[in-house]
Amino acid sequence: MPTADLTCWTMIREAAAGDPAARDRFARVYQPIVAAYLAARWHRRDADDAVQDVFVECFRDRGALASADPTRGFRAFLLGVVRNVARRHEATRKSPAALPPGLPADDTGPAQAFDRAWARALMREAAHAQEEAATTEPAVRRVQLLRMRFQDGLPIRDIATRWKVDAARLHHEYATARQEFRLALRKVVAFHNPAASAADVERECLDLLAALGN
Amino acid sequence: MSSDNLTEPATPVPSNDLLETALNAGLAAAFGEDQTPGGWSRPPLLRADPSEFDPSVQPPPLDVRCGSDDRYELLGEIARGGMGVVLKARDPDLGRDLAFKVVREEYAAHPQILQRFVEEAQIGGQLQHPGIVPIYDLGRLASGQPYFAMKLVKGRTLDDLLQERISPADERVRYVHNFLQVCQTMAYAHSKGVIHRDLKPANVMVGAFGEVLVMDWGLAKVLPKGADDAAAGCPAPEARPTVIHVPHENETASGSVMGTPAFMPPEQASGEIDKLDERADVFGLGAILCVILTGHPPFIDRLPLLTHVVKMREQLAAAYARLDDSGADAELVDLCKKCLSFDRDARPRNSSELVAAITGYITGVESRAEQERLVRAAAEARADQAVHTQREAEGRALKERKLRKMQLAFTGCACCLVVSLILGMWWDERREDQMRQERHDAAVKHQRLVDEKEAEEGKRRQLLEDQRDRKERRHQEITRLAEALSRARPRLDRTSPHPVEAVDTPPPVDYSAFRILDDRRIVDLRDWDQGKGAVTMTRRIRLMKISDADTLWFAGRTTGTSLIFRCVSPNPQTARLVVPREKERVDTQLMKASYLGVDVRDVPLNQEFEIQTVGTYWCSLQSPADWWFGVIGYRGGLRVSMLVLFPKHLPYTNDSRDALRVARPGEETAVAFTGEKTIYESQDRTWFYWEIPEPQHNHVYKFYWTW
Repeated sequence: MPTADLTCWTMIREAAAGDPAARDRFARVYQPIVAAYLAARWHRRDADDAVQDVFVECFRDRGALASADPTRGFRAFLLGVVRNVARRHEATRKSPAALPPGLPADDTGPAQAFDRAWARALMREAAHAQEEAATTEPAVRRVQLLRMRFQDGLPIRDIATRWKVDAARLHHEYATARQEFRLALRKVVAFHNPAASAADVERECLDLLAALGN
Repeated sequence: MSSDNLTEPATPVPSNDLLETALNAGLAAAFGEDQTPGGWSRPPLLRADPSEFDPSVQPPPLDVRCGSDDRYELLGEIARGGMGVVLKARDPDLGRDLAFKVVREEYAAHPQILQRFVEEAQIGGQLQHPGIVPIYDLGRLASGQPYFAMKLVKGRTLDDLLQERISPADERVRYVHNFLQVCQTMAYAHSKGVIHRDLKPANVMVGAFGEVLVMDWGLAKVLPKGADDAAAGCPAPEARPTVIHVPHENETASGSVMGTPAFMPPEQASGEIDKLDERADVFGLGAILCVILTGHPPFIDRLPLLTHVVKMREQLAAAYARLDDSGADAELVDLCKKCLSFDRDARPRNSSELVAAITGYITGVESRAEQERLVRAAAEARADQAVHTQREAEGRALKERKLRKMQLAFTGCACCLVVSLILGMWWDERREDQMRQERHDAAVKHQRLVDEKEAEEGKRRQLLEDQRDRKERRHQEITRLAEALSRARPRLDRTSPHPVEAVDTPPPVDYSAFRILDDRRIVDLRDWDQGKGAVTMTRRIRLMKISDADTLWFAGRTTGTSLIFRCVSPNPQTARLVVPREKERVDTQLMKASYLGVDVRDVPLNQEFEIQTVGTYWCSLQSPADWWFGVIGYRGGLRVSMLVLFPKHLPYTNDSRDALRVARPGEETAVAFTGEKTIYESQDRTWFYWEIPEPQHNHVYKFYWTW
């Protein structure tokens, strides 16, 4: 779970230094986002080489990371890196650049795909952080409640019946679980935006949620 | 940033409802199914098969749920039509290539075009028939353009295949079969209430494995449920207004143009949309058959507008004429004409009737072909039988000839074999005799050689035995002689019994008139003593006078005081002794000499005779250097021998092997004699005998001893 003194930049630097745990986390969180952008840009899904190049660009000496501004958010930085790598691939014909007729030439679509994938990734990170923070039985139970609600699609009433608890009380727990998720989301967003204020973090959270709603 | 800041945002936030709604989306993304591209595929879009009791295919509303294009990998453009573009795509999840049809960009904002595009996909998706390209997916691109994915057909259009023919008669049967498959496909579509409205060879694909598919259902129309439904008052589907433009005679126009002019039925060309039904497709099928039979569509010139009905009839009449001249079966031509009837009521009612007619035609053709094949086969069988019979007869004759030849060859071979056997046996017998004789001869020869060898060996053994016997006898003889002599005392002459004459010049000693045969000497040292005594030497010489001679002189020399010669035989009375007044020098010594002259005047020539002399040497051999006696070898002499008797009290001491030496002519020093010789000696070393069988002329053979 991200903490206040650990940002994505420290995590990336640790990954660049060869820390296996940092690399695992980096790949788990960002690989789907990069792949989503490239798939949207090239209308293909097997862009593994380009995805790999994005990571290499982040980790190599005097690479993209060297010129990055850690005070900015990592989302913009990652989008810039993946866009540059994509353009480089298109210029060297390592990946097909031809768009089918009738498709827009700019990458508005891929950028939207990137934003959606970014939002999904951070939501999942938040869920992961909430789950890790759940050290008490009620907290674990609340995470389970969210999972049954949004993964299995069960109404709170049905869950209450299944758990043989009062529905009103379960609704209250459900509201608490949602607040906990929001808190975890704020931490995850702050992790990716080290210099952001609380208002900026809240605005970013709303933007992420809006991106998912689009 | 502190953790406290995270709990209470300072900036205004949207309303709670909006926030809750957005948060639901976030929670769904967080805890719901993973929809990132890195995950597995979304569930396939399944469509329920329409049952026979369901209404015929109905166009769906425009707001269909569309998929996402990120599943497919677009590879490039395959073809471009009036409304859409066909791309080649790949589905990585299923690992297959497929065709990906999208609306052309310029029509992307045209609702009617988009509506028709979606209808094409959905109609095609609901028509499940081997002759219709299956639709896999319908969705929207990121730009919002609809697309549908379908099977990628690898083949060529019927139009291409027909145009490649040199003559319309080429492979007509094959294309009629293809046409039947098109009719069957359309019969299925008609049964589902769907009409194609754009049938033409260019919209028929013939696959690499013979499959025939009807393509491009972009102008397809879903008919009302049928006449019964219509009669029951079911509302007819809304007829879309159609304005006929004629951009190209063989190309489907875009926009609101419906169909291809060259293949279009009159009612379609006339814009009578409400009259379009299965019979419009029957006309299109007839047009395809017309191309198959004649190589041309029914309307060759530019399609007349709806006001030029007369001209359309004229063109159809021309097409009929081409059909009559095509050389095709009349049954097929009549069927085609019927399909191309200007009046739709004159056409077959739907494709099923066409299928039945074409099937009947093909069955008839195949039946006739089978009949012809049977007749041809029977004729060929008869011809084959005749040929077979003839070949059989020829074969028998050939076989008999071969048999006779084989018999002849066999007989010849047998005779040759017998003769060869006889000759072989005779040859073997002869060879055996020869070998037997050779073996016998060899055995005889070998035996003779063995006998000869044995005889020689016997002779040699006998010779050796004789020699050994002779030696033995000689040894015994010498031993007896020596013993006899040992028992007797020698006669020591102090004076000569013959007349003595002192001379200044010694007489010549010449043996040239004689041939010496044997010269035996006996030296008796038993009376020798230091400073006194005498030594006698008896000489018996056997010889033959070979020329005239009166006297034979014998010379004797001594370092002692005197030498007395005496002749014992043959006639002592005629012998005389001559003593030189001066001593003679022999080597480095001065020695007294005596010459005994034996009168041989009475000796006959060439007759053996013997002379025996005895010489008494007084006070001789006083120095060890004088302890030797020698014999000169004569020319032609046979044998010399010497028996030396020693005093019993003074036997010789030297080694008998070194006793015999020889001095060659002109040489003073004598060397050890290594030639053939015989030596006998007594064990007590009181006598020594040596004998040389073949002495050489003027060689002095000396016997040395020591005391």
